[in-house]
Amino acid sequence: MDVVDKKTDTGMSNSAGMGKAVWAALAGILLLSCILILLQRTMEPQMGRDSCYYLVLVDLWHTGGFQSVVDFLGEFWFPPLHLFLLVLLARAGLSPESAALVIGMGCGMLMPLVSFAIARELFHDKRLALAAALLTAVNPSIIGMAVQAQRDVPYLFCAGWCIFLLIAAVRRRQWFWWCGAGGVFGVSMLIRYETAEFLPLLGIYLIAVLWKKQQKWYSVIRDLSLFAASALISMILLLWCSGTLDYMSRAYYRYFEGQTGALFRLYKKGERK
Amino acid sequence: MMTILEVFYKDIPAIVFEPLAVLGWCGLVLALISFRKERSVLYLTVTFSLVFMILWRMVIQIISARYAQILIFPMTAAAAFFIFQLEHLRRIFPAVPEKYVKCLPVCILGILTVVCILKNLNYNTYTPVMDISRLVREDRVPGKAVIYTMDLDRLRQIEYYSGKEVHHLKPFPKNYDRVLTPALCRQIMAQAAENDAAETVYIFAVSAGKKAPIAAKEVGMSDAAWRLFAEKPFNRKGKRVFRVYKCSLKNPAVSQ
Repeated sequence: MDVVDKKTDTGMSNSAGMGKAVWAALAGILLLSCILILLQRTMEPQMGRDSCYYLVLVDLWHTGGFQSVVDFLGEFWFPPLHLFLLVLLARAGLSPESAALVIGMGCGMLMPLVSFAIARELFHDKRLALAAALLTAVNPSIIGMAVQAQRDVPYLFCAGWCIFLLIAAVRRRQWFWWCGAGGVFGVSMLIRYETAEFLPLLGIYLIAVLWKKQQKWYSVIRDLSLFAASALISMILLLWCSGTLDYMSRAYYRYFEGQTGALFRLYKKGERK
Repeated sequence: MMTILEVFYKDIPAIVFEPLAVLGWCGLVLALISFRKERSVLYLTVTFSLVFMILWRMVIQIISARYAQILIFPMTAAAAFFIFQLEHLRRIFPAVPEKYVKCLPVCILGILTVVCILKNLNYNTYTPVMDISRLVREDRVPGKAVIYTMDLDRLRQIEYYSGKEVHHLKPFPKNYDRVLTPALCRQIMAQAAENDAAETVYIFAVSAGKKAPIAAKEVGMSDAAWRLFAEKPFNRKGKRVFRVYKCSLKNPAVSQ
């Protein structure tokens, strides 16, 4: 426990609370992030190769519905959430490009918050967390990606919050952190399938818990079940809202059927030998 | 083996930003050493998770650095950790004056911030594709107009900003843009007239800045039918230029 004199505390000590100075510093970092991203947009107003492709898809979905995207691509394998969000903003009156910029730049500008939360949860040090937020705010890759119509920055934003919630869940062992992590995992998964890499990490957590015997096995199973349930609920809800639930569930089913079929054929081949 | 290692020393630092990545790697090693006695579930989970996240990217040999972008968070946190651990430098080098050690983290953080901002400002822009494509979009021509380019990388951008049908010239060599010859232009125009029933053809090409544009006479057409439609420097260096030739297929060609 840190002992902090409340009269002299400026908020920059490593105590658990958030002082005014920390909030001010964080606000300053967010402002810097906004300035740099807006500057980047003025320097590079052109959308990249992949961004142009997404914008064409958004335009198709907006004008002809989801089926026209499927017709255009032949088969739709993209996680649909990012496209759907762009379509929603396009329906609200924005051009596909402006919609992409609102989402990309918005997530990019708020990215230092994610870094701050992760570093603070991990090291319990406000100075260190502020430094991490500052380094994220000025990160050239994030700034560059934020002004493009791609899934990178929204994915990074959601996956970052998922990492924070998972760290908080492991550290605090409270059920609602697991629910939150699962919910955000579902959102992130529907932006980029790369989020699936967090599933083996849960396996690592399970092994670590069983090894260290710090928790009862049934509480771990309960936590992981909550995570899975929240993830599934958020994914199903979002797919349903975007009107792609039917198509995507069939596509996923076909994929898994193909995978298990291939495994089955491989097994049969081995049996014959 | 080299490709696997390239993910480690090339792709991950490229997306994290190299100076940050160097500090991040140092921070990760230092964190492993500093917290080695802790051995809590969190420590084990975070450590092995990071090892897994780095390893699978190396094993499958990610095709783009962007697939390692999630590592920005742990690497940034580790870099920040390393910077603030420098406050304890006197434990290793007691001779270093304390006042220097105290301000070392802030100095490094400041330098790193400035370097990152400078990197952002030193952006090698590639806007001519958008500007020139927009000029083509605004150019009102009768009948069908098509664009020909060999540049597959910029094809979608040209299509998006010009709003016109764009064809990729697959049979030609990849460095076509630099070797755009009058003969090749004639070949393109013949193809456009035959396959696309186009009345106007725009040919997008990246050429050496010193090289003179292809003249109408060289392709055997009148000045009204063939002209350099637009030209812009390709990047700040200006060694290469982005050129668009406009060719009207309805106008009669001059006799050779």
